[in-house]
Amino acid sequence: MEPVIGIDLGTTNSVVATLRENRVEVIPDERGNRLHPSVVGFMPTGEIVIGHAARARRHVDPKNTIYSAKRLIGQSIKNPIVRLAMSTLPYQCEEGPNEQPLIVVRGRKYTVPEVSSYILAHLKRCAERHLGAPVSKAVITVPANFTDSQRQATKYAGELAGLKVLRILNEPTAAALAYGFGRALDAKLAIYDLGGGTFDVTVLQIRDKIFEVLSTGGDTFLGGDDFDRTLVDRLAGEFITRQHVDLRNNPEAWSRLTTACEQIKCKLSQEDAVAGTIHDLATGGGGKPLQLDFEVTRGEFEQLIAPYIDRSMQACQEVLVAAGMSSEALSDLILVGGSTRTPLVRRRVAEYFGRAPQTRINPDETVAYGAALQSAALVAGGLDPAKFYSLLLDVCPRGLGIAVAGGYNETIVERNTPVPVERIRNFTTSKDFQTEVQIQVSQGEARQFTDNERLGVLALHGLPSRPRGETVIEVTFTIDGDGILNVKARDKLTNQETRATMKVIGAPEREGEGGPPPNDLLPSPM
Amino acid sequence: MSERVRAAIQQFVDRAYAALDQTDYYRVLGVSSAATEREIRDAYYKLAARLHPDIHGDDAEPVFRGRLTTVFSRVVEAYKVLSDRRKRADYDVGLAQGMLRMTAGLKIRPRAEEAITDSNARKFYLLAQKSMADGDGRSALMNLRIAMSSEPDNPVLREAVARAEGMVKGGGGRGS
Repeated sequence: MEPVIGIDLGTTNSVVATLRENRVEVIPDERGNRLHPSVVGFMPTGEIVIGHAARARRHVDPKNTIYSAKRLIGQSIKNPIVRLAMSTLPYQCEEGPNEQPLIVVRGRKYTVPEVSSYILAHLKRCAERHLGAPVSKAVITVPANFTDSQRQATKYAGELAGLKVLRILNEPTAAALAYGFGRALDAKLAIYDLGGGTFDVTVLQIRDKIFEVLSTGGDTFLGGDDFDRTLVDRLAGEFITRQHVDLRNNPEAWSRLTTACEQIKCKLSQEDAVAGTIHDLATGGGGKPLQLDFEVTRGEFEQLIAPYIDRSMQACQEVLVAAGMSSEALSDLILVGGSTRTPLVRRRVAEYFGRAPQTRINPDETVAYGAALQSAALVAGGLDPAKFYSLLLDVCPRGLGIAVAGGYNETIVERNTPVPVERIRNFTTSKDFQTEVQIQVSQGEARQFTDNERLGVLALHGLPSRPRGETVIEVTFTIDGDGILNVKARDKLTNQETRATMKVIGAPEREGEGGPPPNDLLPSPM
Repeated sequence: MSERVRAAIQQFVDRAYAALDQTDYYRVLGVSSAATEREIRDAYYKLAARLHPDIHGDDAEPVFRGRLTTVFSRVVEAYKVLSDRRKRADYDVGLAQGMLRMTAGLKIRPRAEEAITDSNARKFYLLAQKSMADGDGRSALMNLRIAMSSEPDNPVLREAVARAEGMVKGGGGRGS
């Protein structure tokens, strides 16, 4: 049987794994590295390098070395948080169709899914080399609170890399699958997942091989990169005071400083203070090379990052309330993501949940491990008890609503509803002989429509021309196992299918790919 | 893979699909109207292990898969309502009047907590609800006092305090 793989497509690093002979193997690159930097380097020769080879180019050629693409994938470039993230990236972005950010490298424009597809194709090649067989199916993980368009864009990146994406899997859920593998459990778990750029927290119940997610929440813009940035801001501020040079205008220096701060952060996990010098960081008056001397104590660092950790604790409380549970009812606490190595994070999380975290888990690899398990489970099915690996009952992390009269939002699917879920709503025409209805769709459950994040516009086309109110269109909203919305519409009078298109903001446009565009599920009217 | 199991599930799904609009949530889950929370969860897990689309692999036939999704989605809907005390009570009222489903966002009447505007107060109100459901009136009162500190005049909170106090008096903090 053809091997299937699980991929943790991270902001900073990615991991790929597979289940072979009932054991999970983490797949190395040709040099034996198990952690693959999520970096794509565009060389002057036109060659594209990925992973470790690309990371080495980050401060040699910052404008043409793309990292943290996950922070941009499936996002609207109009989103203020995206704009903030972009302001710290040394490479150039511009607005593309459907509000998508485009990355401009050496005069060519790339969509974010294209850039991510290079990373995925690299992981696919690593797997094929390691397994000595072609690989065409994968499970790819995303943060639990990724939006519809972020999921669509990630799935599309997988397809561009030549992979059939069996499932877009939530990262904390993947960690739970890894935790529960091969053990008979009746347990309630909390998973605190702080990665490079995103934060998730999930509460879930495991009984035997059934994994039921009770609630999930988090913050798509919170992670270790923010910790780095607080250090960068501090050291760059000191540099202005001492050397009167603003590094913000110097992408190469900024990129070197960012890398240095990432290392300082990691060292501060072991040491109480880190001091050193960055040589030749910039040039001063008369071409004089300038260096940056620094000393950072752990206490200072903890003060800088405390507000970010506070934000994550708030999400933990919301998730416990949504699960209708107190922390005492939990049987275990799992920490995932490289940023949970930070001592202050560990301390605060342990304090909040009132227990020490599980330590037998490798925070870098556990998500890919769970993805590999889920890929095996999906291919095997589960009707045959011998092949029943696990059944995952996951939820949609966000509500789904539509705009109704008065500027209100009507919830169609509540957040934390198990997927797949199907909901039916009827819509009617309000004007005589109206042949098209447009419905604004949101992700969120706030009363005012505009308080929610926009998802996009659902359009019902080619409606029969009748007096107002006579046409009733029944729309079926389905959130599938990937957490992606699909729509289908039917004229109640004639019982015929009607064309419905869902245009999702920030999602990739897939025209000319041979397949149907996303969410344009009906091949043709009638 | 046992073909017999597959055929039996297929038959079950076809029948459930055809009867979906005449089936109440208890029958969807195959439990009695007096079922406990644990029995409801067990029934859900058992059905999920048969009807979840993932169990049928990535090569299931599309029409069957569509029906499976519809039927499983209804199982989930039934589970979400019946496993939530308040929603279940609302549902029972509707069911007595012949309403088999809770549509419109699974709400028959607006939920009480929506009358609480402060988000912190709402959180503690929900925690208090949970404590009361567990028969712990004392914890409920504590949570409600925190909630009242942000919205002292909220009638929903006042009413809940009265209920929690009744609980504490009636059974020394435990029992109803």
